[in-house]
Amino acid sequence: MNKPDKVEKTTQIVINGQIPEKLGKKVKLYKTEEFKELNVNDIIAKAKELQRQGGSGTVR
Amino acid sequence: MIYKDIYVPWSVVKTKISSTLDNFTYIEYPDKYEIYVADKIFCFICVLPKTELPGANVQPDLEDFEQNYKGKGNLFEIYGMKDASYSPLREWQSVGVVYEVQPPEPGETFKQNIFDTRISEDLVGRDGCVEIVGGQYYIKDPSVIDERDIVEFSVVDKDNVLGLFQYYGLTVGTDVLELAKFVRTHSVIGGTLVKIEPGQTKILPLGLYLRVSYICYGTTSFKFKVDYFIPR
Repeated sequence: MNKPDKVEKTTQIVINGQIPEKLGKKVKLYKTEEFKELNVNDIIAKAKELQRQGGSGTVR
Repeated sequence: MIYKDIYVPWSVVKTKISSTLDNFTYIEYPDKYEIYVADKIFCFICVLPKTELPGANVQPDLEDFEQNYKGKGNLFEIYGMKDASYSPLREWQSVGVVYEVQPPEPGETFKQNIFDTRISEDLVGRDGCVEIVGGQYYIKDPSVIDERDIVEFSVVDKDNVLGLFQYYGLTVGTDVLELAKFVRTHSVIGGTLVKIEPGQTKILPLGLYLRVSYICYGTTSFKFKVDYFIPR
């Protein structure tokens, strides 16, 4: 089965039925060093903690 | 924590209240009290009407509660449950949305249909969060589904609700922070209700989005109905 993990050039993305003017970046938080293997509840709790601390993140 | 709800009369529920009164709370309505007592994995619930019901003498129970317990419950503070403070108070609702899946156009291999539903004020509880415990989707006509079609469910932040956009160098309006993907690369099933079980209750703050991604290889557009099961 063809399971694309990346959208190819011959594919259009529509968001809520509309073609977006510009496709931005997507960061998968659950794959970052800071949040890897955390469930979403813990991700949100840690995000609040990081927000308080400030700093920069690691994107993978 | 998810509790198993057990509805009991006042005479039973009061025996579950600890001597320090730290395991219960209640909601007062114009016509009744709803009393919740947490005990291990159970949430004992009692509904006390404020007016007499035919065949039931509730006045003694009402007086007992109002004189000895009302104003004293502090379940949430003691158990640190503020983030999910309406878990034991939950009253279930199913929130449904109907999306229109578009097929790829000539020259395209497939089309990725992304549907974002914002967690709005209508959905959140008194703590400003919503709990997603599961859901289901439905496509009436299975013949519209290509065997390669894939559906995914995730939670994303598009508006910097968590305040991490600067942290990861993202821009509001174009970029997306994907917090979790709780259904990944599922082959689509049609003609029947398909359950979505995230495996754990997701406690999500106001302003995040519930995202559905449907990668369509078919040739026709069709309705894609999604219901989320959440407590009020």
